[in-house]
Amino acid sequence: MPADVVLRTQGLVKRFGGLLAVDHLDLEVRRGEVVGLLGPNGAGKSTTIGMILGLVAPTAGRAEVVGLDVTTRREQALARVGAMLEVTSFYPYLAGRENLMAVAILRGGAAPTRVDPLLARLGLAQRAGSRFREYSLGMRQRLGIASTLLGDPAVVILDEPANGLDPAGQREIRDLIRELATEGRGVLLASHLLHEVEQVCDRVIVIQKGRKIVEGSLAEITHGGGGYAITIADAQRAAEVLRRVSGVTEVRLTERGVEVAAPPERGAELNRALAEERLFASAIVPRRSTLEDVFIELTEKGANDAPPAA
Amino acid sequence: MLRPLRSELYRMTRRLMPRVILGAMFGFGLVFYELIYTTVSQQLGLLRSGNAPSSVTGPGGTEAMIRQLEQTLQQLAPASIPELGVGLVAGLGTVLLIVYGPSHLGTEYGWGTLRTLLASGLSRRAFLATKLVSLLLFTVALTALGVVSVTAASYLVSLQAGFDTGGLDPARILSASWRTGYAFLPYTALTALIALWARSSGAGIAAGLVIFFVEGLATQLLISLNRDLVTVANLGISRNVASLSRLSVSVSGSTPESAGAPLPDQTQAALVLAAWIVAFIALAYWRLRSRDVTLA
Repeated sequence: MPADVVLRTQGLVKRFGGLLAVDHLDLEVRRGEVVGLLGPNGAGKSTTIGMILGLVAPTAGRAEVVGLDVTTRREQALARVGAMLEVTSFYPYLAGRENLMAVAILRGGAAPTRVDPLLARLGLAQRAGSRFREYSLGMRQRLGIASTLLGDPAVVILDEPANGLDPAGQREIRDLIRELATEGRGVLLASHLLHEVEQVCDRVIVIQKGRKIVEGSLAEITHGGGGYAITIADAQRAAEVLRRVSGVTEVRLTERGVEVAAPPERGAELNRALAEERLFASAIVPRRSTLEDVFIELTEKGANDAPPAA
Repeated sequence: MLRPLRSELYRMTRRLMPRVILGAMFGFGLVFYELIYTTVSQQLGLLRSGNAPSSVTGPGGTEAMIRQLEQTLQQLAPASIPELGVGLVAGLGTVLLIVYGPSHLGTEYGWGTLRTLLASGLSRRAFLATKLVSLLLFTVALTALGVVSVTAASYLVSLQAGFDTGGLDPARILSASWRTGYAFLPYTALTALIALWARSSGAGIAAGLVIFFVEGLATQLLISLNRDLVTVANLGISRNVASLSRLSVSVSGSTPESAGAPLPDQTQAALVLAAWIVAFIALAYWRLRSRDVTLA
């Protein structure tokens, strides 16, 4: 395991009876990197996180944190992980500060001294004495994030951290996630908020039915970030010409012409290639491909595929 | 092990439920002694003044009834704490622990905090060990508080009634308390196992109460059907708990009976209960270890 890789799964498999929830999943998170883990509901994100945290026993494969196997050296491995699960669970009868202190005592070391600074960092200092049961959903999320940082982790795993937060709160969490990466921590972020992922992640992994269907930087996944919608009469011929243009990764026929996946600076080149073949577009409209477009395209395509063998 | 235990005690001492249960145990001793004293004193007063209705006097006449009530009052004196007082602690303590034990474990599932604890690096073995050790400490505290309560109540009532407050035997009280505390453990371990298995406090409490009340009746029925089945009945929990809770063995040297059949001797009872405790804990560990803690 390279020194900068702080989290790695290799061939991770989980079966629940006849259901294959996670299918040979390999992923890596490096120091200072934010990796988005995306997938529709039931794709296997939470099960994957469960296996990384030793909550769910893998059927096959392994997970490592800073080179330590989570199954065989669980305690040492998880001492370097801070995790916030999708449903933030704390003791309802304890105050926010007491809940953090209970986890901090469990973690030991300098964790108890981090309780108050973390409450302040997450904007909870004023309500630190209120019971958890009285917290709003947003405050619960903040407390969950604070608890991930008690052990000064090398890896932070956040499952839907912005659930229940207002737009200002969401922005704060995005800033915090970037700060964590700047501090040299690796962050694995599972989220349904694709714009959030788009803004904070260096790399994205999309899973569907437990299988990784795509992995790469945002630019790679969104095909350089965009493309062009070209309105043209002879779409079939235009598509053949455009496929030969350098930088074009995908050409698709539409009702009005073709859609081309290509980097933004290729517009003039596309126009020239068509004109040289005496094909004249009535419109060439730049079209920015978002992560949401790609996600929906990928997952719809994946949903139509045959389900993995159980 | 020390860090998880410290964290557990940190949470436990801030929870209302253990405090309510300890308070109930303490209050119950005082109230029960006072209640017996007041009721019996009133009946005695009526009998001595000749104003008691005929239904109260019973078949032996007024004098016999008075003697019987005076003996009952004498049981409230400090000399009888190992029998009456500790007996009360045993009865109420079992029920209170059947309520608290499952809650101590089951709420970790209900609140989802088991995930938080395990994701913080706590192993399943350490989790279970911490829960059991903290339950053991709670059992010791409950027993001690109960015994303190009945001792205080006994002195208060004796002062009110003008009884002799001498005759307190700390060694016998300690012996009875220790055996009572030990007898709590199988029920505590059983109900904790059920709560863990069902991932629910309610299931543990309900099943625990049913087993507590039904097992004793079932063993009595078994013995009444065939006295030879006493060997089987003596492998259960209730008759061994009854054997441990009784003082008369050490006092008279005779073997006490229940349901017309001798109870197991106390060494055997302690060993059988120990076997049950170990079996319940082993099953709980196996279940906890073999089951995924899912996130949904």
